[in-house]
Amino acid sequence: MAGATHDRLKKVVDKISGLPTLPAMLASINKLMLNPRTSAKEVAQLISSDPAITSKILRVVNSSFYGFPNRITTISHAIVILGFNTIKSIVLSSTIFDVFQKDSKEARFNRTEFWKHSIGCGCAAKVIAKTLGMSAVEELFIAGLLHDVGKIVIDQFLHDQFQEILDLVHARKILIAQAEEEVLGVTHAEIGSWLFQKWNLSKGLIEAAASHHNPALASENVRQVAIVHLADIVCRALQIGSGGDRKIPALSDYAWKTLGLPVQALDPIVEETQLEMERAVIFLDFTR
Amino acid sequence: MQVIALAKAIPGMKVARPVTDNAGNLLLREGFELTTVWIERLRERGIMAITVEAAHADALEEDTSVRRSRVDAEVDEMFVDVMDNEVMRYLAQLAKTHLKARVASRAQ
Repeated sequence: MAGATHDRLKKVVDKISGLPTLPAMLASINKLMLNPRTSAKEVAQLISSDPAITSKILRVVNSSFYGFPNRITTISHAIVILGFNTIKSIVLSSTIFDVFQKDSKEARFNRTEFWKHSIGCGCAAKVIAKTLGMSAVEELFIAGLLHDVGKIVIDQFLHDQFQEILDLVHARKILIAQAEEEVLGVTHAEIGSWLFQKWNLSKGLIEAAASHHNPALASENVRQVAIVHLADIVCRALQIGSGGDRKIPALSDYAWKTLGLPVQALDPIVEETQLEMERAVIFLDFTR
Repeated sequence: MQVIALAKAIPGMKVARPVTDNAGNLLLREGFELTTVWIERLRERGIMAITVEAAHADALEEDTSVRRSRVDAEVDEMFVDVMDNEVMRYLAQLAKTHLKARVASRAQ
C-alpha cells in the first residue's frame, strides 16, 4: 500500500473502536493445525465443544452446497471427508454473519441484500475457479464472500460518513468506492484488508479484499484477486443482492488477461453462478 | 386470497394461509410478510405454492410486465460507463437475457 494511502487509512481506522473479533474457535483450530501431528479426532473434539458452531457446520456439509449423497452426522466424519482446511473455511463462512450487527441503521443499505451479494460473489468466484481448473475453490468462495466486509465496517463504525457516502452514490449515481474515496480518502477495500490483517486471515483473503477493484495492485495472489474482481462484476450484472450502489465497475484488462478466458466462457459462468447461488441458500439462512 | 407458485412470490407479499412442510410442521403463520430470505428458505424446504392476499396476486401481473420492460433500461444504465469494453458489452447482453428470463419464470 502506498504511503499516502496508508496515512489516510490510519487516520480513518484510528477513529474506530471496539472492532468485532472472529470466533475464538478459529484461532484454536489454527493453533491445532500448526502441529502436523494433530489428529482429526482432536479437531473434532474442539469443534464439538461448541454446539452452535457444530450445528452450523453439519447444516452446511449436509446442504445442497456440498451435495453429499449420505447424511454426515458427526464433525469427525465431516473432517475425514472434507479435510481440515475446508472445515476451517466452513467455520469462517458460517460464523462471519454473527460478527457484525444483523441490521444496518441505514435503510439504503440492506444488510440481507449486502450478504446476498457477498454470497453471490463467493459462488461466482468458485465457479470461475472451477472453470479455470483450480482446486482451491473453497478459498475462492470465502474470498468472494468477504471481499466487501469493509463496507459493513464503515456502516457500523463510521456511520455518519457512511450516510454521506450513500448520499453521494444516490445523487451522482456513482460507485460506492468512488464516494468512499471522496468522503474518507480511502475505500472499503483498504479498510477490509486492514481488518483482515488484524484478524490474521490468509494473505490471499487480505489481497482479495484490498485489490478487488484494482487487481494490478496484487503482489502474490494475482489470479485469486482477478477472480474476485470478475465475480463482483458478474454478480452486479445479474443483480444478485446489492452492495449499496447500482453501477458496474470497469473490467480490469490486467485481470481479464490474467484469467485468459475467452469471452464466451461468460455464458456457462453466468449460468452456473445462478445454480450455485441456489445451492448456497443455507448461508442466507445464517444472515438472519 | 389466491394460490401462487412459490417462483412468483416476491418480498412484501403477505401469506394468507399458514405454510406447512410435508411433515405438517408450521413454517409461516398467516399474515407473515415474505422476505427474500424466507422465499429462499421455503424453496429449500421444497414448498411449491403458497396462498397470498388477493391484492398482491393482482398486482403481480402488472408488476411482472413492468419489470420485464425495465430490464433493458436498468442494465443500460448500470453499464453506461463501461461499454467501450468488448467483454462488458457481451456481459451486458447476457445479463439482459438472464434477468428477463428470471422475471418471466417468476410470472409462470
